[in-house]
Amino acid sequence: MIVKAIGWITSFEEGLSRAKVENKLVFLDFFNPN
Amino acid sequence: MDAVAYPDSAVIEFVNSSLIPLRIQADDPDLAPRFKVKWTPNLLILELDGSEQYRTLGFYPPGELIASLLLGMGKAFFNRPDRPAACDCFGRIIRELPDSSLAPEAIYLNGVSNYIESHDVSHLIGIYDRLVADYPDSPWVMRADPYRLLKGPT
Repeated sequence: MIVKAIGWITSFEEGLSRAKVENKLVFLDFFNPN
Repeated sequence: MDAVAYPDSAVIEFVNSSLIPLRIQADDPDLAPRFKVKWTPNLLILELDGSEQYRTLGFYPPGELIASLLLGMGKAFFNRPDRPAACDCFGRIIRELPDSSLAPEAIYLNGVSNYIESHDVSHLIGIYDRLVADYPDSPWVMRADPYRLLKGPT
């Protein structure tokens, strides 16, 4: 299956939890929605 | 970033396989002040505990974004310290993205990481030689300049 988008997480706590489970660093993008 | 870098297939593959991608609005009432966000794009690499290891501002084209993320990952591993993992990241920039504006910094940090591990000054001399040979106009030549003195008299 071809993944066509970045699998963004939008919860900080969930991101850190996933990072620990998968032992990966976090890429945090603070973005302007406007 | 949404128009050019993030839809790029290489960026998608790299981010999804190498990192936990987390996206937060820059006006988040808790996290924006905590991370002192004053401008966007504002891209960070965080450790597993949420501590900031790397930050960069501004827009990136796809290849340069991958180089920047590798540099940030390398710095995070360097700080752990897990220097073999750091060298893997810096080495990928050097080998796979040699035209990146970040390649000279990667050469510098790769050489420093190898020196710390081995205490072999040839790694420091190698930084200077490689930068002068391949990136003579880079400001990193100035930062590596003292290492040329380690060569001794010729």
